[in-house]
Amino acid sequence: MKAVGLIFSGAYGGGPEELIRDRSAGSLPFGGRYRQIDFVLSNMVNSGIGDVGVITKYKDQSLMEHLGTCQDWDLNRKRGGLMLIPPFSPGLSGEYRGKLEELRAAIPYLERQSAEWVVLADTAPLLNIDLRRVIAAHAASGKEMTMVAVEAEEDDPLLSELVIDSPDGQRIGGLWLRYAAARGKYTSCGIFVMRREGLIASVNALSARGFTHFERDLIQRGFNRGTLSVGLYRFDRPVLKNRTLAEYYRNNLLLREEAIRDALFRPEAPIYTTVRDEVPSYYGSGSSVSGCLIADGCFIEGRAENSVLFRGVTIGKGATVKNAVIMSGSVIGEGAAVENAVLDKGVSVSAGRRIVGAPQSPAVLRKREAV
Amino acid sequence: MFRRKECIAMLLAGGQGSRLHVLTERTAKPAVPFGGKYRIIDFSLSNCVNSGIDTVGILTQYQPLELNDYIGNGQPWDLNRNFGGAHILPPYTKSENNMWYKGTANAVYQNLSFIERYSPDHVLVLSGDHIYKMDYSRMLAFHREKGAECTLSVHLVPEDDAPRMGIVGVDGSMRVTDFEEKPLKPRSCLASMGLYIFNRETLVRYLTEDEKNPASRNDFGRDIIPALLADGRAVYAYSFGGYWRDVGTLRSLWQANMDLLDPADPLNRNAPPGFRVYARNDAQPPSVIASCASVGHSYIAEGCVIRGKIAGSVVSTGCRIGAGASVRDSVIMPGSTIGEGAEVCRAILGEGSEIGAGALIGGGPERSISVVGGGKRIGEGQIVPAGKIC
Repeated sequence: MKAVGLIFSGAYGGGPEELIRDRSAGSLPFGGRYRQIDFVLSNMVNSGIGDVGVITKYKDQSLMEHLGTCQDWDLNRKRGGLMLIPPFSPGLSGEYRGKLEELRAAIPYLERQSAEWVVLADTAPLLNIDLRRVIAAHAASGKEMTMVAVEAEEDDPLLSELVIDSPDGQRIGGLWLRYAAARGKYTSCGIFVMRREGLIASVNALSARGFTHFERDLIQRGFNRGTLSVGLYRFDRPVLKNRTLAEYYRNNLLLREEAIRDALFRPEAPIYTTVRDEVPSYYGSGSSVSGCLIADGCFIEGRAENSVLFRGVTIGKGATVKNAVIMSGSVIGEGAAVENAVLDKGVSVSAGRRIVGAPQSPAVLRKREAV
Repeated sequence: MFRRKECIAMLLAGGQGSRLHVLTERTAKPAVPFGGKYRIIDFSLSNCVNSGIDTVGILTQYQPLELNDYIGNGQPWDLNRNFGGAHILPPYTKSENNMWYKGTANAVYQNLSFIERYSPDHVLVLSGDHIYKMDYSRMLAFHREKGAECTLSVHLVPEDDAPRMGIVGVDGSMRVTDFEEKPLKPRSCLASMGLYIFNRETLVRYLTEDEKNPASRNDFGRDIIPALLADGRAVYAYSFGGYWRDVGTLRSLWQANMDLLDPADPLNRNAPPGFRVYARNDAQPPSVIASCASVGHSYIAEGCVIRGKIAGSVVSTGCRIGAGASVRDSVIMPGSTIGEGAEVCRAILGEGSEIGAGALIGGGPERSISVVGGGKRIGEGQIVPAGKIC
């Protein structure tokens, strides 16, 4: 059951605005050593998808740098592998107006493929899923599209891109866009399977009529008018959505829980990322670390509690880091205190300074900010 | 071949490493884990690329499976090249004289055709079982400057250690006057590091002659260097001042791991700038240090879940240390599991070893190292006394 993967640029569907000003959602660092796109890329590779197109837009330098030759995902293939799909601008410039326009840019790529199926995926939410099962379920269902969705366990105060009403977790009763999912409703995991030829035909037809929005114009409109049959694939393991800063912060800290870690980092389906060749992390004699998730290359002489430390973070003597998410290369000077905060990459907090946020609204320091 | 290389490396990685006992039962010495996320061979390979040498022949013989798998196409060391790169060179059958590698010199002799493919001016001969960071290009510059035919890298050892090493005597210009393996009365404290640069013609000639001598042990240190000296060839000694350790014994392997924790950072103190050690990476998530854990003066690699107490130790990728367990002054190799309440002190735990809950490994007043072999299981509450190898 041959499939080709197509990953959206991540320009839509949002994310923590404070952290994605200068990067796409795909290259947002997460979980100590990853970027959000690592999850979807690894899912595809682990599911035997060897042809993956990644649609890019502007401001994608950090994503391209991260992907490099794609060696770390084993996608540096002679036959197939990863293909960056640059913006498509027939006489117009400017950014894509919607994911349907992104798909239009990917049509030549899709036409060159021979696979029967296409797995379309957003770079977030984050999950570890065997896409082979989704494709098999889709093929067996006879539907024109299958979307992966997860049931909301509680009323969700935040908006989801696509909310699905389903009486039985299989049939779809109704679709809402940018909607807050009540308990028992389903939300899309941003993963859709379609027949390649069917997708090409739909995209061409809709683009020709000026439609730009994937969920609204292709899925919802097609579903409501009965021109697109859509099935649901119910996913039962944890799914992490980083829609706002508070959610991003909470989800990072959630990775310290074994059940979440076991669901996302499965030995038989690892999440790959760029290899940085950092040395293992050093914990000094006077350090005190508890309840933390810590990547390689850290140098810890102070105190770290209930925090996530990305690669190459330094915590000086007498410094305290508590309930914080500290991205790679940041330095917390001697005696400084950081609490309830998200520090972007390469932030330096000088000796003795205090950065304290509130648990529900963490303080944010921007990339390479020095305080 | 119209393209050629200035200098290529031949890395001797075929040794059994029998003095590492259980750690090399199923793997070659160069593939033994070191320093949390490395294997011993990473140091020599990284030195090569960091020194601008992009062609490395890796001579394997003993238990090569794991090593071959580890090296792969050489990509982690940037040695996946179109012309050159990393090449595994096992013994192979020929139309005549089929044989295993009889000695270090014979191993290189059997691969002269590999060397000839690149027509290098110089050949660097390395061991795959030393821990050090060295810029070989400086040694090569010295070799050229002296107009040497062969240059040995030497380092200063304490007088007590000299009788166990190959000791080099030099004149004022660092020209080697004599060389003696394990001398009873050492004439100097300059020990050979088993690391040589040869002019290609000299190497080819002496290896070929050595092969004709049935009495030869086909060893660089014992046969080739003495033969060069006997003929009055220009052999020079290049003094390497940085950190260098032969990790051929359990004690030295343990000690070199502990040296990583030395606040003076001997490995990096005199290292050339920007010399990073590269390794093949397992896609493991970051490590978790649980609330009940306590970690001090230790290195912990990724993929671990630490619930116990770790002090003065090196814990490698993917280890699980249970609540109430205590690990002191030990080297825990990748994928090991230590059960709740177990105590590990001054020990080396091999790759994938399992220590049952409440077991006691090492400790006590003795200074000797306890070792648990790779994949071995120590049952619940079992005791492995200090100095025991199992």
